[in-house]
Amino acid sequence: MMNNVRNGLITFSAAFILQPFIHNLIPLRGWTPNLVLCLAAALICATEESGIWLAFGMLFALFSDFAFGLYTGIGMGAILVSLTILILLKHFLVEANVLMAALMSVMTTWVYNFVYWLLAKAAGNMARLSAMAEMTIIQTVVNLLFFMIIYVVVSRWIHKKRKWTFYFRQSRL
Amino acid sequence: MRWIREHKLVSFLTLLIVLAAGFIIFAVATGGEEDPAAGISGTVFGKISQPFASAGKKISGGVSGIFSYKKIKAENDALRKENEQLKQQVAGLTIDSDERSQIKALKKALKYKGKGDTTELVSADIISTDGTNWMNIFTINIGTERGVKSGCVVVGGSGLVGTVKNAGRKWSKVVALTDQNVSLSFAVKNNKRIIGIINSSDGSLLKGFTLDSEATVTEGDKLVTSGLGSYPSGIPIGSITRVRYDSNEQLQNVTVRPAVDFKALRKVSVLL
Repeated sequence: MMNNVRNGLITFSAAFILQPFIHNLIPLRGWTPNLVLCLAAALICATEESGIWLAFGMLFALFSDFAFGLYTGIGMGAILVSLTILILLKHFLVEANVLMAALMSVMTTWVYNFVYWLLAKAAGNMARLSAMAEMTIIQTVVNLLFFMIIYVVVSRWIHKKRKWTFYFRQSRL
Repeated sequence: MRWIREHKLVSFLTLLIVLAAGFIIFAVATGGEEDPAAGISGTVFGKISQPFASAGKKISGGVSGIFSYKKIKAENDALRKENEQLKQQVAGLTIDSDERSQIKALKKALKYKGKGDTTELVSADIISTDGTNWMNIFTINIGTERGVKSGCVVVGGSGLVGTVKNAGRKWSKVVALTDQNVSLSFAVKNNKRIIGIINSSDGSLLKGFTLDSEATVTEGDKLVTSGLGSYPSGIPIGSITRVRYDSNEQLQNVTVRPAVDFKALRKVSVLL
């Protein structure tokens, strides 16, 4: 558990800090991924623990709201809804099926943006649903790319760890 | 207490959910007005993220230069020619120090006031946007330390961008014209006597009406701020894309495309 807390702090801090770096590195319309969302969703899909990544996702979404957003708490609420749906659907995922994981990434991005739009609309923002949908199509592609990179890396690491545990721990017994 | 100790994760998640609900209710109730937690946190997180934003910009600038070498060279040659022409013009227009001091004395004697109250323009870089890409809300790297405060007008290369919503010591959050309840007086650039008001937006386009319902405006007319209200005069707003007469309200409605491309915006200036 403590390992996960330490690993989560390091990875989510890196994602939070790299967000403005990526935004300025890719000067194209709408081609900025939501790194905190991608990281949280990928870790939930790739590992058995879900609660801790949900907690980290919410915490760092709150930090992102403080630093980059106008409406504090809306990003946190949107990530809570999207990751909760992901956790509920995870039970139907075939483990280590990359296609299912990719579909989950697409679903998470759309749910996140839709809930964010709803809450921002309630707070007085004037953005249209069609404008949100237009940019979400682009962001879905970018989020999917970053999600798959994190998912593949984490899955391989977990697979290696399981192999080591199975062979070496067994032999020591 | 024992239960909380034994179920740390669940307790932490519950706390986060309660916090989220509280912040969302506050945001919806106040419409994004500054809360003290955001002010302090914004300063801290802004300081952390700023070096990485600058690094990203530097790398992006360097890499894009490699791919657009020919374009940059042609632009450089054109600018060099323009520079030579302007130098010759300036030489003809230069007044000597005697004439300058005479003009200053005259200004003082006649108590001459310049147009508008705004004299200082401070440039800023956009550090980041919120995580959605479709809301035109972004954070810039200057704040109250440089005199920026809530309500300051923000302009970009081609026109009016929006206003500062919240400002911390070294950061400010800017909301674009298209993302807020806007009330802005405009004048047609080629005929400053035609005045109107922009009073709404639908996310990417601005909508308003002319005060004179029989004024002759056409698609393509460029609009600038008229100087009435809180915006200084002469700042480009955008161009008219549609003109429609509403017989119920007896108003000539206009739809305006903003002059600024918000998605490609990287640098802005704040009018202090």
